[in-house]
Amino acid sequence: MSDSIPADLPAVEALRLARDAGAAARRPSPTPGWYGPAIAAGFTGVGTAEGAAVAADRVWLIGLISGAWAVVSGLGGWWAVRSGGVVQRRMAPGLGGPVVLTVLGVLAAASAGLALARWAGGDPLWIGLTAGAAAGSAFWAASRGLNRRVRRLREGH
Amino acid sequence: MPPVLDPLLQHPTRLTVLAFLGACQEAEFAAVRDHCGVSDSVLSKAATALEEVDYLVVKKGYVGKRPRTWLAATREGRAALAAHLAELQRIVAAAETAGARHASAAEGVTWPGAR
Repeated sequence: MSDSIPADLPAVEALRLARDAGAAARRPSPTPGWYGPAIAAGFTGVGTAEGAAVAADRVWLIGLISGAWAVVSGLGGWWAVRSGGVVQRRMAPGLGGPVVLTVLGVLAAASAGLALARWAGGDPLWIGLTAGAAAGSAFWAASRGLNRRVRRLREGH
Repeated sequence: MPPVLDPLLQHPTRLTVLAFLGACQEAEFAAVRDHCGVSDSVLSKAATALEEVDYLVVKKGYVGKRPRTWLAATREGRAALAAHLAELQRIVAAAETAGARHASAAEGVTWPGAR
């Protein structure tokens, strides 16, 4: 395809080109390799920091830490989405369910980690660390699963 | 006034670029170039032509330290693409109808000498 040569495009061919281009743009991209581990490390750090805040009797810091994490993880997501070169208008069909399951899985893992550490008699720092690490591990595992699903979708399975 | 084909979108590169961008929020220059299978200069020319009529916007940005150029279809561009594709579909449908009518008329013709 050259822009210098004027080309009269048959209607059927033009429709095919437009359909193929649209399908290519809508094809989902897997997240970059660093995304899962980076977010997992972030969850662990946030859990530890919030545990330390409780241990130091500065519970108000939890809101601040959570807010900062929301901003940082949002920027990470923005960066990860753009690293594939195409920003989608909406989520690809077949990915909504796994994304919801990822969020629920992270919440469940954090709650389970927290409950387990409390039951084992850990101090607030250890409870926070365990909950954060459990949430991070769940996120990493789920993001690997999501990436596998995205690759299958790209291959048309 | 009957809808007409957009002359700007009758070129395959410009049509492909706008159709690609119309299906996403925005795309990096290299991703569009790779899909279209054209050189940087050809895509740049097509993007400039589309930008001049406000069908797309070009944004310069960074991902990390690397400079990146992002292209995005505007609302006008999406509307022009939708109208162009609708007109193409209308042409194809009309041609198919005419072809079917011609075929059925030909079936009814009794050729001289035929029994």
